[in-house]
Amino acid sequence: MRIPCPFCGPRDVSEFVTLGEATGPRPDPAAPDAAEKFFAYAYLRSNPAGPSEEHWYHALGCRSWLKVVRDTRTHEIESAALAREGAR
Amino acid sequence: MSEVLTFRSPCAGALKDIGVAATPGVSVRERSPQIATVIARGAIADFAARLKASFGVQWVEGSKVSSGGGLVLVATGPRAWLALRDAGSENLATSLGEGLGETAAVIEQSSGYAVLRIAGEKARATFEKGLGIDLHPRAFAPGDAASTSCAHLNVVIWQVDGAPTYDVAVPRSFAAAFCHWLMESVAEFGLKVL
Amino acid sequence: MSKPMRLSNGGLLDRRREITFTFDGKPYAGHPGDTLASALMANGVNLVGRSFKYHRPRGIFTAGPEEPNALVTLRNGSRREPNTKATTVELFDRLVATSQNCWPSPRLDVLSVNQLFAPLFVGGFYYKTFMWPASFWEKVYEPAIRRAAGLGMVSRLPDPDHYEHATAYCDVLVVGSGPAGLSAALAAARTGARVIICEEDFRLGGRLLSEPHEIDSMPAIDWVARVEAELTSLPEVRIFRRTSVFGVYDGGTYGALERVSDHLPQPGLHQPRQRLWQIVARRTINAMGAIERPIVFGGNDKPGVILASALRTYVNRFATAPGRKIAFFVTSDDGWLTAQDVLKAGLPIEIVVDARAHVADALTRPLSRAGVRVLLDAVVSDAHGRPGLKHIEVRKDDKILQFEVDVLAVSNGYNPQVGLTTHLGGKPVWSEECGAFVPGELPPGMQSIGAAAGDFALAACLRAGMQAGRTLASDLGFASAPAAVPRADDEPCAVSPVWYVEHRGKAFVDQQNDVTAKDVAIANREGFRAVEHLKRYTTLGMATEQGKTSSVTGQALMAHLTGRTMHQAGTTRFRPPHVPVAIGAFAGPHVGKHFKATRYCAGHDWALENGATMIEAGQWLRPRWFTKPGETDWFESVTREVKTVRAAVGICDVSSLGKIEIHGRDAGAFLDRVYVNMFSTLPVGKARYGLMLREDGIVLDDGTTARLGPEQYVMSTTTGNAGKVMQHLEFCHQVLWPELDVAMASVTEQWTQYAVAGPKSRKVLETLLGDRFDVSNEAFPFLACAEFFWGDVPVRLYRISFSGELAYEIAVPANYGDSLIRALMRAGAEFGAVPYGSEALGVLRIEKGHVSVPELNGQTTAADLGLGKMLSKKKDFIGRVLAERPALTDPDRPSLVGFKPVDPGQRLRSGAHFLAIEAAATAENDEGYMTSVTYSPHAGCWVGLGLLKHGAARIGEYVRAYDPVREGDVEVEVVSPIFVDPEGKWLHE
Ligand SMILES: [Zn+2]
Repeated sequence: MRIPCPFCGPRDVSEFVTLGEATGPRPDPAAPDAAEKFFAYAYLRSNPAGPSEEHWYHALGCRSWLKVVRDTRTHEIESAALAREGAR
Repeated sequence: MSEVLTFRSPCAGALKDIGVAATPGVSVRERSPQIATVIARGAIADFAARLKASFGVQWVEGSKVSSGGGLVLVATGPRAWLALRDAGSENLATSLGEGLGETAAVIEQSSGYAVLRIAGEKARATFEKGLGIDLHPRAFAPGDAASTSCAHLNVVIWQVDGAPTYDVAVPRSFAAAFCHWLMESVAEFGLKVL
Repeated sequence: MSKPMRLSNGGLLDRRREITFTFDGKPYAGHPGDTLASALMANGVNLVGRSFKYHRPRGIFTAGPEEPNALVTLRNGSRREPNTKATTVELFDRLVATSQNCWPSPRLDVLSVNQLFAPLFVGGFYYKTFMWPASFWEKVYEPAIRRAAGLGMVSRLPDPDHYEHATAYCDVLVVGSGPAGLSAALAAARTGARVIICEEDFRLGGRLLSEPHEIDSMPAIDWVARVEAELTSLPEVRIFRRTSVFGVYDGGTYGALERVSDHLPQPGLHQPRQRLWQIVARRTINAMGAIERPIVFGGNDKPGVILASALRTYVNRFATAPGRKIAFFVTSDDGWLTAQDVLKAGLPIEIVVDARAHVADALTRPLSRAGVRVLLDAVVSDAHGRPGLKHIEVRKDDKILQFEVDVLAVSNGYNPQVGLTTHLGGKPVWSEECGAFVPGELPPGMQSIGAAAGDFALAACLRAGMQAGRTLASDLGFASAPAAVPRADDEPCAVSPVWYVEHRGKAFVDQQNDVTAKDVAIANREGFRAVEHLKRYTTLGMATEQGKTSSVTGQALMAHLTGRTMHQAGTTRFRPPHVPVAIGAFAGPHVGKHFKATRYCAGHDWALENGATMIEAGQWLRPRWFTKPGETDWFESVTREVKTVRAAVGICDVSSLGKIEIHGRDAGAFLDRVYVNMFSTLPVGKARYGLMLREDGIVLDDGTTARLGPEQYVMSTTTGNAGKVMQHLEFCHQVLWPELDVAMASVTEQWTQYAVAGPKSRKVLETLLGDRFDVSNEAFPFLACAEFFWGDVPVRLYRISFSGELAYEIAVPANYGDSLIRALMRAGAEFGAVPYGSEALGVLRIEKGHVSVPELNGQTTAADLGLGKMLSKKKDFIGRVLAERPALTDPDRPSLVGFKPVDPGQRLRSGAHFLAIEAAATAENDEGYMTSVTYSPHAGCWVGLGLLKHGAARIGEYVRAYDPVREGDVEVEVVSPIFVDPEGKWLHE
């Protein structure tokens, strides 16, 4: 599998570390239901058969965290963006 | 007490000539530049403007090398560079810190990397055995940079000229491992240590 | 040397040179250009080995990597390699090969008695015969089966050869260099696109090496040479010979194995044996051709039965044949073309049998005119002879005719090589038109052409190649004027496959795994009818050639038995590797000490000079202890080191600990969010112990973080977690809080850092630094930090302690690290300073009750470690919310305390579980476990740290430390985890 890092260009998957499905944003810790929200944030995953939004870290490259949309059935990458920019 | 700390380069003693042909396919030289990590703090445009104003270096966007007046900035990430300048009287990190001001954080790294200049007709054929990226002239040209892995080690590589000549920065503790990889991979072509 | 079966003319051999080799100890000779199989055949050796299960005599069945039978053990000594296909081994001087699965020889094999027990080995025999009792499997059944049914023997010696890994990129990858592949490569290359051609043979040309066609009015072989010359002249073309593409991976990535030196007695100087290529291609042309199919009839595995296309190769390319009395059993036009070639080579043909009632006159006439007997609408039902073929039975109109022959060439149409097309999940589809499975959905970017796509005729292959090469290159923006398609004839290639013939003897479907037609019938009777079930129940197609000559035939038999069409029955998908790949090639250069790169500290050489024994800590090498002259065991050295630190001063390399520099206006606020305690309030020039949680509330890492400037912190992490913490911090910054003004970089590599610990540590630093820096208690108290210059060299000094002693850590840029340790030791000499290693470091920290890796084990909370009070109530931080979950705050959770044996002579073991004194040793009574133990020179006995239920409240109680694995059952006293200086006075002295 090759991931098109927005900064480095397409690179072999061996340069990346995956954190799995992107479940952000991080919940508000002050909210009354923070406990449930954090539980979902930390543990619940939708595990789709199809496009899945995931966090990947370009560990052996530019050290960027990426938000990657990957089809779990075909490993086709629909998009890869810097997570920093997505968060803004 | 009059102790003086003495310098020892990361690859000291690790590289040796390998003679298989009259003209070795690859040459290698360990450089010992001053190095600093530069990280943009605010808008990149502000950083680029200060870089131009203080050092006369025109910033090049992307995974590229920006250079001028002996200062080289190799992009290592969307907001990060490895700055290199040959050792001189002025401390690189200090002058970068002063010159870039609030636009960037500057972190001393002169001992953090081994920097090797690898050149020659067989340089690409050698790197093919370790790098996962494409160094073909259509894909990678002088001024291009890449942060990537070489035989599972993280390296920063940038092309200096079309000879081709490449500079490679390897984290210091991996210098011996990198030299071992280089010596094994280059053996069939021959190596001259400069 | 005489070669009785070498034809006097023809062949792509260098007849001027002779190569000698041995098979089963007997010397033979061949020529450059031979394979081992062709050379054996030329020498009249047709019995090459015995089969896997029944030990039946087997010969040479094919001329390529699809070979199921002619498996030999190649070379000897440490280079011995079993299960090598003789049909793919390029002959080299002094080659040594031996037959397999037979003892004492292929001709007289004792274990062929297995044939008598054949009922034991039928389909599903593993599942049925050896079911009960389970314990018999390892002890009785498996060894017996292995001994009787081996597939050669490995050398058991270390592999002396070197293997390389390499990566290549191209615009168009062409797999196969037959007519389709060559013309595709040429068309693509002429556009200027970057082209890689992979050919598994040592010569380009594919079937053009074996078939006497004309292209552009010249012999095909000359056309190949001309194309090869043009391709070689183009700068962007790379030709990989002896290279098999074995796998298709996501994103246009292909695995290929280049056999760099396998055709040589041993690799040349600085040459690898094999090179594993990762090829990244934007487009791929699959022109791998097709493999001829056998027919299932009685005795179809006899040496002498051969695929017709293989016979054609042996006759035309290698100028040899397996016998002198040749018969054909065909269902295809192509078989007749082979027969014509055999005739042209001057070899006598006894008979051609075609199952079809009608065959074009143009095909039959040349043979009947030459006096060859031709039988249409007839089949070969059985082949006989021992060990090799002696006669065949032909059935025509319910009459059985016998013919004495020693070669039977079988032609039943071709299976396109669809293997690679299925690696990403594509499923081949049955084409009635081709009478074969053709590629279904292809991997992205791949196109199959020529015989690999079911397009068998030569002119069609050339046309498809030119077209595909040009189109794919043009898709990528490489344009060129259309070139003329090479001219050739479309030879006839009709086929009406016959899969199975009524017979009496054993009829094989998969010759390598000895799967018979009867086994397929058993699978059907027992309900294993789906192609994937059939495969696993019978092991059909699971041998080293992965069913290249057998899978489709087996599936056809099953389709017939179940009354389904081929389309309904379907076929299996293949997984990589398409051809066997040695594990050594996958490992590449990453073997032995180079499995993972070793990281060295700047003080490594100094440590070795001073008697260090090193230990791996992650990828780092660290000194474990330093042996002084006269010391005879590690315990003696470590105890001395610990005592010296407590009484005087010791020096320890702590460079491998992670160091991360964090800059920016919001650096303090950022640290407040990632640490459980406050860092924004830390004064400049001070350091503080910090604890980090994961978002789920479990401890991630700990370390000391110092504030060097208003906007500059330096964090330290444990050696093992340095990478993980950096990744975590980057996540927090880039993903969670990109708005913070924070910049960070790992500076682990930049600084060499030594701990100087012990009551005399200040004296050592005073001597070392002189008036460069004031290290007095007043100027530089506990937890102070500073940065200053030593000449041009920056120095960082921290007053922190892991040992519990008065201690400092001093850091200089790593290029001066070697110099620093030498200077430190000189300065420390008069105070009795010694270096100490990680083992003594461990003793010191356990004595002081500091947690480390065994306690930060991914299961403990801050409270478990007695650090609950550090959790700030004034702010949010990573892990705060989930750390408050009931299960993580349960007072029953085991928490950190110290332990001492009641009998001070007894040894403690980490991993021991705690039980109440009288409690039975059951899981319900488990109260926690020992995490770290050491012999404490300070306490004069073993001491331990551990996690015990209600630990803090139980100090003074006695429990058992129960360790059934090492037969330990020690009564221990629960004590404070801090064994030395509980008030921490030493730190402040
Ligand atoms: Zn990247």
